[in-house]
Amino acid sequence: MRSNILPKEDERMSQKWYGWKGTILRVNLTDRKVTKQELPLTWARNYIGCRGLNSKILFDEVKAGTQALSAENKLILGTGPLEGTPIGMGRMSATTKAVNGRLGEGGLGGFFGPELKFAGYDFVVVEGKSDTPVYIWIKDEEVEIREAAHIWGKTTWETERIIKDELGDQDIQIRSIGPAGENLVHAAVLIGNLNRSGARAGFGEVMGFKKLKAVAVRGSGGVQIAHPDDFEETYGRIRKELDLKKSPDMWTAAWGIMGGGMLARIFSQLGNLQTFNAQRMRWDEHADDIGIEAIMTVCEVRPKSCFCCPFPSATKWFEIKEGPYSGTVGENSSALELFFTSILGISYVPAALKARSLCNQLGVDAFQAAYSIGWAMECYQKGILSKGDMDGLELKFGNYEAMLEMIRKIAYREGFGDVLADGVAKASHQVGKGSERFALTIKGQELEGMPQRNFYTAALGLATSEAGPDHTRWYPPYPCHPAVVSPEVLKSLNVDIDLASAFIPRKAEGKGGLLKWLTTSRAILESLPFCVFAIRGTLGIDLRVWRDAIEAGTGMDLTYEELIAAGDRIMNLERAFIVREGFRREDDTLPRRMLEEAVPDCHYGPLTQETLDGMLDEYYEARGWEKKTAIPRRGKLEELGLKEVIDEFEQLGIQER
Amino acid sequence: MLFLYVKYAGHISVVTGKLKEVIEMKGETVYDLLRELDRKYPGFRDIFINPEDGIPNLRTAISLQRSGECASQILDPKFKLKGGDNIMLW
Repeated sequence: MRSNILPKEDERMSQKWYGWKGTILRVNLTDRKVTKQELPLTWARNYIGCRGLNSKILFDEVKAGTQALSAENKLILGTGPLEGTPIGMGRMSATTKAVNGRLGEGGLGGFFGPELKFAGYDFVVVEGKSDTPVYIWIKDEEVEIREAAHIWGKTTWETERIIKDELGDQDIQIRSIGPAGENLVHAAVLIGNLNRSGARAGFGEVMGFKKLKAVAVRGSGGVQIAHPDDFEETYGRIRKELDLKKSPDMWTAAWGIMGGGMLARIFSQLGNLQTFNAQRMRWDEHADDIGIEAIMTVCEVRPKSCFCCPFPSATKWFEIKEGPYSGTVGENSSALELFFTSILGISYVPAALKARSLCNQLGVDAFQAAYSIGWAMECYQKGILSKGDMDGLELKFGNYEAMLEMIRKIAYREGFGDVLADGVAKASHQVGKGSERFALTIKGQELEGMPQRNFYTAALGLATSEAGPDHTRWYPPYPCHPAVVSPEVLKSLNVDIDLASAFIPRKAEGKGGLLKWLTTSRAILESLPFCVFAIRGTLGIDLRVWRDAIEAGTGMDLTYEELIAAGDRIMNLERAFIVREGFRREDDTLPRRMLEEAVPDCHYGPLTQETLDGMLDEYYEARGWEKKTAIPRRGKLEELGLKEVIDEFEQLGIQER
Repeated sequence: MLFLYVKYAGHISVVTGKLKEVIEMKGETVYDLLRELDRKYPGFRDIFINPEDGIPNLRTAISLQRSGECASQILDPKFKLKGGDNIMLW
């Protein structure tokens, strides 16, 4: 069933907003002005909030050809209508234009998003550029741009402590960049609550360029719910899918209790563990040494969750108790410490945890660091680079001391660290000698941990992501079990996927249609917001509960079809953003290693360009995009009411062939 | 008798108190393995199989690695195992 969803005329639901705060805060760093804009109701209805609305603002206000490192680029911190409620779980979206024109969008957890809502804002849009380091301080209706020379150069942990002491309130929520962002290191991240990192797609770099060190917020309000009893009932339905004993999903209990660190041993057995810069995909001889089970033997660990997270143990605070890194504290969330182990051939897990903590303090993206150093290690292995080329460091697989020193050098752009600080795509072009083949990037951004040659949904999702490799845009990349929802229910929901087929990891047919559903549904959920790592059971397939949550929370009477159309609209707008910058089908690709190299320890071959092409054709067809170019077709844009995109494509001469 | 290399991942390792062990069993199916493990760890089988209907639940997973190949998931508890198989349960 298809429906033409056109933007409705702006109208007031009532005198009062529920869910949303109805306010966009604009801060101009050039003229030091602060303004508040009313959130257009049409925007809320058509893009929901958070990621979706961030993308709307970015598309409208950062035009084609705008340099990322310029005063004209914008930084958008966004929350959604269900932020500040138990459903929002502290998720927020940080969006900008990345240096190579990609969509620079990333999600973060923690507690900043709810605090921003409590202060009375749905979005903060930062414009212009400061001549001197500053930070933004938001306390309810009072907003200041404060000098930050005294914290410029400080780590993110030092920054939090100084700002909280300076403002006399330890409950302030802060998002900041570290030295990496200040030094315009590629993929520098935004950090909050000491160890919540995100926005690796360019936000930290742009913030550093604008000389914006941090955004601090404190709010004394709350979030008003339209229909509290209905909201409570709907939340109960969501929590039932997340019950550790009853959830119909094999990952709920495993993830909820142990966190992503349990993936090390499972991935190794499945042939999904990126090892030695993905030359291998198993590390059976050391998998037992690097997972969460091992971490718990060498560290004191405690649960440490985000706002209202139902899985408090999924993220763990740790303190290393013995050895050379004794006293190191940090958090391991998802499975980020894996990147400082198997990718780099390091089995000494305290060093990986030290690396994780260091990255968070310096504001270095863990993925970028791991794959850049992994590339360098492979260069050393192959004789392309020597110790002398790398400041005397023997960057060979397994050398964790060299790894730690190189992370620091990347943050401060010292020596060879300056080469890696520009990202491994540029580094490999600079070094050459065939090293480009194993620079593991997509659209100029380093990979994350999802396997591609053994998991075609992940491969297609990474290749097509408008933000570079970002698994949260389609996570989880599977139905948890082919029987989780019946074909009849899927049909009634107009979800056109064959679950049984989708469950087969190396079957290409059907992956395009599956990805269309995964990306559409995740665009919706990330806009509420809701944490993708809690999408378990039927929550990512049967979206009726989310429609009910929006109505109960905000009073907005979106139909199920309108909700799905919102997700489709967000995806098409984001694709239009990168099309406007010149991205086309040929940019939806994978690292050459994945397309050309077999995995000898797993007995499966490369993914191949032919297989990828077949999946791309299917995905574009499902999306309503032109197959040759990946440009959204006019008919699709009209269906979604994206007249502004049609007009702009015409102006720029972007045409379907 | 079959000798199987059994690994426990995630929260299942907490249930057993160990990461892996070698299991010697008389039967030949995955169901027989679960029954054997249930003898060692009472209640273990019910973590994987619905006691009401004997059907594998959706809350857990079993993967099999055989002869050096990478593992794949087993959905049928009647699946026949061979000596030397590596099974991971989570």
